Amino acid sequence: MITNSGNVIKISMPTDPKFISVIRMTASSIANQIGFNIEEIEDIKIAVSEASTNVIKYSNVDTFELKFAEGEDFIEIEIRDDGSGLDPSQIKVPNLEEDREDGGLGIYIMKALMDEVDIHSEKGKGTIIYMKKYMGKEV
Amino acid sequence: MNNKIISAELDKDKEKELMTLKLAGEIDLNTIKNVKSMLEEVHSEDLDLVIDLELCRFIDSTGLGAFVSLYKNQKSKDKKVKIINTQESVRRLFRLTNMEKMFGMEETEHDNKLW
Repeated sequence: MITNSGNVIKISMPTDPKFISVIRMTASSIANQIGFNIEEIEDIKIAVSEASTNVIKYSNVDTFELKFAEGEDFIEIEIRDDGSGLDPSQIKVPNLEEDREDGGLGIYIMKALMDEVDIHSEKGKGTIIYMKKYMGKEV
Repeated sequence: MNNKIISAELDKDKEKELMTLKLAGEIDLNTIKNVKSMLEEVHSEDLDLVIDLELCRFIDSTGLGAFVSLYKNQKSKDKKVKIINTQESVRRLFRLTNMEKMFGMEETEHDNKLW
């Protein structure tokens, strides 16, 4: 959950793939405004795109919510849907040596690019993806 | 809203037993259908494949997954596949997921040999 009490931007988006590039541009623009460098902005953009892709593909709802919170030297992002949710045991990071086509590749990428990633999901009760990234920290 | 932020061009050289696929734009959940329809044509050919990503600005796990199935398909036909001219932001994803070797991306830029 977002803990920061600074500026928070909330956006509601349709679960329509055609808006995925809009989501990326939004994330990129907010990260730029906060002061992240180009490489970090790229990481945030990819991670938000991956998280949103999961929601669009699996949530079975019409809209979902994105929150971006500005910290002094970090950004917190929460992507929340009230959709079908997942059994937490289904959320796994794939073994890249064996299976790169697995749906978990997106989660692997998010975890590699962000400093913190937490996924809370319950069957029938939706999913919350929380991510945090600090400035000036090497991936 | 433009739902085709991707363009694809396939060039076949049967003499050299090689085809070149040029993808431009962003490969994501929105554009993957267009990419996959082009990949189906690639699947049906019995040629080595070079994918030129010079004009590809973005790729995510959706696109990487499609390339992995393409790799498997080429391998099943005993044909090669190589990705060239990646932008750094795109290259990073291949590096992060240990997929550079799979697509012959480890050679230096000065290496003119394809395989």
